[in-house]
Amino acid sequence: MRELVMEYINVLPNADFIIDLLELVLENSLMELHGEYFQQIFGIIIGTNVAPILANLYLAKLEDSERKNEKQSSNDMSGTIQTLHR
Amino acid sequence: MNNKMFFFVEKTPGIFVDKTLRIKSKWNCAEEYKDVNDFCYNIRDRLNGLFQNTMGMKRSQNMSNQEKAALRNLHLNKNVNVIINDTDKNVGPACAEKTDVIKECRRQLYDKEAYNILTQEEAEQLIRVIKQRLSNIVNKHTIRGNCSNKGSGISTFKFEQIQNSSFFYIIWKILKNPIVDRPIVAGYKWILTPASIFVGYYLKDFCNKFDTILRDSFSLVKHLEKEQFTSDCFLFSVDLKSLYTNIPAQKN
Repeated sequence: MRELVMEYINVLPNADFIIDLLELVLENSLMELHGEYFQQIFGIIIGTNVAPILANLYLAKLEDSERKNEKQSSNDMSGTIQTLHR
Repeated sequence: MNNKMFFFVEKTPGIFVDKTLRIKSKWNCAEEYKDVNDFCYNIRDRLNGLFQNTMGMKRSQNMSNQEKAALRNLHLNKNVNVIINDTDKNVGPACAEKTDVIKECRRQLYDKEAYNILTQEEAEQLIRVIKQRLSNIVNKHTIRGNCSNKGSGISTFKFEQIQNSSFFYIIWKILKNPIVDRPIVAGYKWILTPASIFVGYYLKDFCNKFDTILRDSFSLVKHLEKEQFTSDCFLFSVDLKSLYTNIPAQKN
């Protein structure tokens, strides 16, 4: 994600700021259930406004890189499917 | 064929023109089918008949008193013994035993790989740390000049309005067999909510840079309509299990 935003740093003047904030959002979550507290420690924090956008971007990036690999090794779709399975 | 013609046609006697009906879309179909037309005209006439017959009649409830009392009872006792919630894909409300709901939520949250259990003190400590880090970041970037007024507003967000944490709950996927659930976290008053909205606003632009990200299901339909498929083409769809908790956040 960092590299993605950096690619467009010319378009986005406050890219550094965005990255710092994003890091903060993704590292800190707190949820409550019935008086108990939980912190999500793995994955994109569910419930933040950025989660769907990040998930989309992540998959798009994954697809992009898989396509590049595919062209290099002239593999079939199985490569992509294997990656998705992991 | 235009769907308008079934409701608004020239006012000859016997033709149904009702302003209370609203046409949802102005869809035009290139082809016309007699069967479809007959079907729609039939609906129109039957509706007309129904309106004519019931007009001026006193409205009565179509529920028995017992049913009404049961519904009222359910409503008064919601969240005591039963939990009434939305369902996945908006297929209506679902009602479940409270103990089942809590058991299922716990099962999800006790997954040690994805969630940490915190005590109340640890939670409060975490909130303090986050507040500190948030204002540090905003200050740092305000000094550097890459933070607008809108950005600095994130930290001056009224903290007293904040609830201390987000709420975890589940909605049932009643279309699946056996029924499973989708975890939802409602964090509309979480400290980082304004920051998250702010970041999302800027990141949305990046989505447009990828032609593999579609805006919604409807844009997929529009895409497919334009496309021509040869006979050796095959379409398939892929779904990801627990997508959010499977994307490594650290690598981002």
